[in-house]
Amino acid sequence: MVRDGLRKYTFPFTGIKNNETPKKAVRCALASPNVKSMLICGPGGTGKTVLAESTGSLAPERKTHVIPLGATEEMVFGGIDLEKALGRGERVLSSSILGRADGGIVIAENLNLMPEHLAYKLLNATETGSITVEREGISATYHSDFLLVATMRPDEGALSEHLLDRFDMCVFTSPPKDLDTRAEVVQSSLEFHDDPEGFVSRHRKEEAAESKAIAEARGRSRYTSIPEGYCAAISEVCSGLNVAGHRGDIAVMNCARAFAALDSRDVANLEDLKDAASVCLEHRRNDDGAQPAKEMPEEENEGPGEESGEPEGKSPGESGEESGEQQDGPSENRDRECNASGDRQETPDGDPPPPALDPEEEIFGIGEAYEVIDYLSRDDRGPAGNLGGKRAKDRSDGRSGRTIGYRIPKGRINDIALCASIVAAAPHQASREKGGLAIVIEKGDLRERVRERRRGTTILFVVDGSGSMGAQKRMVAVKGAILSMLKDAYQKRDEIGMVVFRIDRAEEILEPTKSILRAYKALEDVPTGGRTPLIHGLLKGHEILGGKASKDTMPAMVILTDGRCNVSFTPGKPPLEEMLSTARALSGTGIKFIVIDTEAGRLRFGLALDLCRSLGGTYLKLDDLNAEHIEKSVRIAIKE
Amino acid sequence: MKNHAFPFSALVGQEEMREALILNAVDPRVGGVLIRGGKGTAKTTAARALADLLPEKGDGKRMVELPLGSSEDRVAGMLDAEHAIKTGEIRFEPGILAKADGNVLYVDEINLLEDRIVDLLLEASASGVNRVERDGISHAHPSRFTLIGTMNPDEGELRPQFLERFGMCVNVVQETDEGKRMEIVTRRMDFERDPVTFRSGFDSEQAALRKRIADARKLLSGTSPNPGVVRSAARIVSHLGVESCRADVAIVRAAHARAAFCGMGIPAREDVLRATRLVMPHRIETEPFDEDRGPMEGFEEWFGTV
Repeated sequence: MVRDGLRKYTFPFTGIKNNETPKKAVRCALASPNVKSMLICGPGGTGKTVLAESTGSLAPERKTHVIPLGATEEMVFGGIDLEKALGRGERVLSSSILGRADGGIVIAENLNLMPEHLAYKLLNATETGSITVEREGISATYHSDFLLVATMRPDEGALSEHLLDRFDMCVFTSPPKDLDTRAEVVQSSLEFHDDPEGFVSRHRKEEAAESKAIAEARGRSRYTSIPEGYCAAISEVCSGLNVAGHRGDIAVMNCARAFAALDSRDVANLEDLKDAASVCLEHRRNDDGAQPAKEMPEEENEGPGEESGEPEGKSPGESGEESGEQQDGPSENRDRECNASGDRQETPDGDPPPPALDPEEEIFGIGEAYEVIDYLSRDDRGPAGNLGGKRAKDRSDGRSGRTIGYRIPKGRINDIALCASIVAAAPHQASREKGGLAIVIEKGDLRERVRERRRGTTILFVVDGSGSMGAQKRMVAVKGAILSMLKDAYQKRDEIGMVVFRIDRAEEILEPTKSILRAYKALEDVPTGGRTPLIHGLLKGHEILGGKASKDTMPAMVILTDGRCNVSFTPGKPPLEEMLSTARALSGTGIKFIVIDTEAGRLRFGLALDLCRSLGGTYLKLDDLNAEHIEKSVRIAIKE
Repeated sequence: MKNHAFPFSALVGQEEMREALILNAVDPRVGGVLIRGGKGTAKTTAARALADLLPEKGDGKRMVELPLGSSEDRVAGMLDAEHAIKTGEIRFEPGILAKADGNVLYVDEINLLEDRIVDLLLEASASGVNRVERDGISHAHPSRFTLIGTMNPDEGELRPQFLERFGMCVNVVQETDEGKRMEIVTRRMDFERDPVTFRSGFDSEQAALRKRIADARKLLSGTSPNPGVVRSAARIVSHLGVESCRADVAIVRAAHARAAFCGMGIPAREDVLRATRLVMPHRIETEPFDEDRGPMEGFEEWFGTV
């Protein structure tokens, strides 16, 4: 039970009607004295919170503590005790969440939204059981042994691989697999909400039996052993899945022992190993097998034997119910996402094409939208590394953003951290003239906030719309990339716009926007055809982005061109020469340039590379120009 | 409480939006509503007008507004610095989330809220508790509120996790009917010229609506969710391909609230159908820009066959 004195009742573990594998994992985590951390992943409304909180209901003797998202470092790990410092001028370690959590359970919801350094420190603490505080004149180390239960929604951003690997266990929640279960889950949720006391008391007996069994298993699992041959098998499975390091092996052994203990045995069997592997290794997999990791939730019940080609096959212990769950993963949903706009390649029927300016002028539909990079997908781990969910974070100098710490100000203070200033002043109070106040703060005590802000990018695509080869494909690909980037949930801070240059001018087709709706309308018909006024495009792009560079945004211009320019801006000047001098002039303007070379065919001039050198930008050459490649490349280039 | 807001019963058109707001007044467990629409769709007026329909409470507060620029401290609460300096004691100074407890929390232009404020709202609405662990303050207090947000989708969307927290979502468009448009403009002008007189002209209608809501609340307090409705909701949500069980819960609550508003104990088909139209739009993954093929396309036909 989460004992904050506010909610008397938490949803009982035995009242959970679905998520069999995650439930098994919860029992295992509580039954093992060696399992220190568990991550529960899953889409919204599939029971993550209920599962996480049920740990407290199952282990009532262990206190539950919650780390809210806005918690600051000194509150989680400890800092100076403010009242003692004020009262007696002493520097004493304050009470903190982890300081109070020794022997208990710590729940951290939405771990992926927590500042990364905090999450790291937290996971480190689970491993070592010891926390060192060095701040505000406090130097202390204390012991705290707790079970961390964290949750996250993958669609809100990724966790880094290193952070993931720190978790002993990782399980995936999924929606109820059939109508009956679904109705049952909803019914019990409604019942609990309307009458928590009644609901809890209806489950009291069952819950008590379950928690007694777990407590017994926890005592027993200390003495449970793993047959010698199995250790080698675990290593083999781990290396088959290309699991890095040794944490995976150890976690599997600890969990297998707990599973055996839960089954009142002193020796783990193959079944226990398989169960353990399914909850300990999925998040550590690095194999490039045929099975993409994004299908993992569906295979969560499969023993690793199948994947590493071992001949055991399905284990007899897998009940029909659970193998049924294998099919209820979110794969359908993914198909839907992938195909959602498959029918969008053509312009809608009945829309007459706008009056043609040029016989070659054509209008192209919007490229197929495609799935956003999955948080565990292969692509994420390749050289593109973790692009999927990472938000650009910057230490900010303004007053917005999340406070992540304090510092002694340099020069004028504009964002004073009052509490930190009081903390700094506290130890000196005994020796200061008070004038009726309890605390006197002097200038030297003042501290200011250090904030972290998620910084957005304004990305302007400047696209060659001339009649040269591949214009059609280029347009479709760029439109697809723009829509997909806008669709991606955690890139919402980015604005995206588009300029097309053709005939004798550059046109702002899409004013930089965050709205997918607006983009879709604007991009519906982008005409192509005509000559190539590249300089016009560059200047138009600069005009749009010029004012955008600030602390909040980074402007980036993505130019899709083969570098061939055949219209000069100043009449009479040779276009190519003018293009390069314009580019050189733009190179120091604070805009990030990315040139995507679209030159194709045998005879190549390499003009786009020249352009890119003059701009001082990032040069990319894509073999296959499609929306996905453009999006990924742009993301990588922007990170650099 | 003195109220100079536009009276709810003077609103013209926008049936769905009005229904969604009323159902939230009948049963806060419906889970709030997100109103999306362009300028001039009366979404802000309607949201603010709801305050007058909510049941009277001892402290007089019924609707708390969260202004856009609010700092984390102001929303979550913070160290009472003045008190600390004067007395040396650490004391918690409650913020907007404390005031919102038991009330409607209204956020205009909710899509422009800063991430960290959204995180605070997410946590409080998920757990019903606001936990503060900062600035030497370790404090938790109940914070259960009905979240009502208005936004213009042209300015960007909400994060999926936040979006999903809303029980209902209504997309409002400008009234196209000439007569209704005229009526809207006339009423607005009358109201602005003399709000007091205008309001008094709607006193009896407002009182009737308030009574109807109060009666519905009374009726609802004696009923528990109907298993048949729970089952229909499960079928509907599965049919529409939505994973989250919060969708089912919201449909059941909304259907019951609508039935109660009509004086019935058990929801009829029509109640479930209307509830679905309010609960599902923001949960169905379709192309948001697809105007021809709305997310609920074909649903009513399907519903008719079940």
